[in-house]
Amino acid sequence: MALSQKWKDSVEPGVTDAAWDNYDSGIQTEIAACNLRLKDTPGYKTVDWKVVKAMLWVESGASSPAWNTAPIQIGVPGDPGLGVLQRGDNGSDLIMTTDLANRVKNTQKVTTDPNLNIQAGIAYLFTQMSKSDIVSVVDDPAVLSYTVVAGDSLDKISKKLGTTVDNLKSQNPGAGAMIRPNAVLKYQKATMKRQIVGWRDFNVMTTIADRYNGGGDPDYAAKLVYVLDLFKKLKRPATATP
Amino acid sequence: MKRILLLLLSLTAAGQAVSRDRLYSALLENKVLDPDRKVVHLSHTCDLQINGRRYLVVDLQEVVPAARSPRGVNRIVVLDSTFKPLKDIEYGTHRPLFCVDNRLYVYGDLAIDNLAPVGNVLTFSDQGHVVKLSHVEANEYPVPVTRLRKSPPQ
Repeated sequence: MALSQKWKDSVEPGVTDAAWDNYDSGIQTEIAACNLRLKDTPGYKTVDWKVVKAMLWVESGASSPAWNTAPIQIGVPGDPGLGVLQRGDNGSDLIMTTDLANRVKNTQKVTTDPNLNIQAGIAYLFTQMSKSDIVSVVDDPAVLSYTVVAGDSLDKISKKLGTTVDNLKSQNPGAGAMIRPNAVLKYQKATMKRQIVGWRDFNVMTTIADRYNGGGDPDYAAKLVYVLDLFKKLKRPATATP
Repeated sequence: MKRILLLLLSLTAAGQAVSRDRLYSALLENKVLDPDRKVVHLSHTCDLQINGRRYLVVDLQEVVPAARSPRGVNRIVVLDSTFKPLKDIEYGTHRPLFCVDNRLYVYGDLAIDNLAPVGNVLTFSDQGHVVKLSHVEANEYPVPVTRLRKSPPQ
């Protein structure tokens, strides 16, 4: 879809006006922290902070009044994203630090403090780009044993011992056949918990448009691509060029 | 009086198509619609049959006015025969397509509450409260070609 000249003209000032870089250091710090914190999750690839800078330009930009309050627009009236973070839904509790989880509870602050707005927006973006599932998580690596009694099933045993059916199966290959009185099963203390099991690709702008913008702006992905290309033309002192 | 009203509502739901006025009122009354958003699409997609009962599948798209780019909030809302909302499933660029019995077919694989697995077939049970996802290849949608059918998909 072709972007309108009117919209292109509205982001062109960013090429020469350094105010459009105001949040660069904050974005870089937050993305670096996310990259460090999430690097060991399955399928994680280092995220380029410029994707978030592009989102800020698309969401508001320095010529918009929102630039000084809610540059990434999370938490504006009717927006569902902040509620997701406040409730810890969709796996957002696995993305946010405890400190951020506490600070996003203040809606007024999220929509008036631009730095907090950006942090919340990044947390929502990462939540939406993550893939999660309810899986068996070992709480204590110590391997214990249990002797089966009449009437047991894997489900009953897991509840009795504070473990999971998946843990019983992984500790006892062929566990189904071992459910007979006096058989000895190995297990670990475990619980079923939501965990990050993969990631969507942050380099695919249509995915970011789908997951962060929710399909509200049909041009969102094209705008991100346009702005990312515009970054190559920025006229800044060498030290300030992103 | 309340029972008569419920009966009337049920009879309305038993019709082939439900008007957008009726859907809009029901969603508004049940606070499914957010007063700060704009409803840009609202339609009755199809009817599910779950344990012999009829449930309406509604496609709802709202946008959140914002500084420069509106955010989309798209949802599949399942209503019972009295128009009470039972299930609310968010989607992005997907789209609800048609129903077959207790299954709703969707364009594209979606995740519910951002949890695995993803799928384009939503199978409902427990009076519409429980939904399981599975996947079918788009080339294998269980609907006949148009020349072999006499009525639209349900």
